[in-house]
Amino acid sequence: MAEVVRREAVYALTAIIVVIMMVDFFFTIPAISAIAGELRTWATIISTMALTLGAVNIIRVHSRNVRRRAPGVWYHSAWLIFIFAFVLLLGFTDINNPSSNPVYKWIFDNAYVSLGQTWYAITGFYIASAAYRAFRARNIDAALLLIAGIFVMLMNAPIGEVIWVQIPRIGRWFNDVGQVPAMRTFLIVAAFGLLAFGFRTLLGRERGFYGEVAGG
Amino acid sequence: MGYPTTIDGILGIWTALALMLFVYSYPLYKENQLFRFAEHFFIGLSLAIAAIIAIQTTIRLAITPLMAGKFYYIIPILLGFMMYFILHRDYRWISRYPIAILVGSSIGLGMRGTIIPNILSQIISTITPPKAGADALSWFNFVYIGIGTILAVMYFLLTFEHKGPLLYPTRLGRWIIMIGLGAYYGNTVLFRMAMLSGRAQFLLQVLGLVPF
Repeated sequence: MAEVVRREAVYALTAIIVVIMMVDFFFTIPAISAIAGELRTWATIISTMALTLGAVNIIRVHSRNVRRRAPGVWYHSAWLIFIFAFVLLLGFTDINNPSSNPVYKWIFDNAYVSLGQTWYAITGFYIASAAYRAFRARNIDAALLLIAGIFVMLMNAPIGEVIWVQIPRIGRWFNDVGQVPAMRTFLIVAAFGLLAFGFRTLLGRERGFYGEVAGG
Repeated sequence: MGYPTTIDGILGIWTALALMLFVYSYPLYKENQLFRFAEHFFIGLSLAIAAIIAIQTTIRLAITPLMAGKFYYIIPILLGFMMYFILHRDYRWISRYPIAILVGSSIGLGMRGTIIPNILSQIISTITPPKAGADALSWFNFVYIGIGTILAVMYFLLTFEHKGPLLYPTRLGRWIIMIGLGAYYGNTVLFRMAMLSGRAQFLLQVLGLVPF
């Protein structure tokens, strides 16, 4: 009985929900549409509540670092917990519009937005060396990668047109036409992969989500 | 937007600059305490903002309807709290129920949402010829995309070994994929460098060397 409640009922619930979503798409049944709509809202609620679970988990890990006074780490963990608690408190002053709090807005604009852009741009430091490694014409595959990449880069850089006036035109061809078959293929095969994965989930063969090893 | 004139504005851009330099001290020098300070600051900040947004969404989607008389909205709220059992070894199985709803609806929506745009529309676009009177380049592009897509899809036939009659088509397919990845990577390199130059511009703006 415990096995049924802990495992089989869960797989059955997943399969029922997948079927409801599919039936809602292929048939016009008002009752099914209403259930599917509610389930979508429920899934959104659960996923947003799961987001706070992620926050709780990180705070647990860092609290442990502080309690154990982990060398070289604990003061950073304490700083993380302090910032989390402080900003959360500021947000709670007006949960519907936290930006109405000037301190929250200042931190958001000058720290969060700026750091977000900084982290995103940090890959710029590494992409030059990555490009050097990727764009070495060791064989035909790498040579094709190099040619397409160089033309697309020179198309966007003003120096490309200075080197040869046709470079932007060729670069545009690689950008607008040359990459289309590959990108279209990725979409198609990923879609088939998703369908196969979905059917495996529907049949209870895919169990990784529940903390179990995927069944054969 | 000009250079800030208020105290909080000036303090804001200099704080942003300091945090940026703390972060870039890692790639420019090596891992150090200032980098770790900025790293933990960002994680704490992002977590708090994510938690605030999650609470806002929960209030809007669950608490407000519940207060308005839709009492069955207590179920998704309880399911949301059931997720927290994932932290307890003995009662972890309880968290499987909300996960089942999340997975079921995500897979269901994903499966139904992928057939038309990612399979049918892509095939229709591939086999639709140019309009009458189109130039030679348009026809060349049509043939290249059509044959290229078929060859590239053949490369993903993983249930057969790529030899015999499949050897050359799949090799050509791999070359087509390489051209696509090269163009994509070229765009990625440029985009990342543009982001980095944006940060360099911010540095010069804060120092007053270029206008805001």
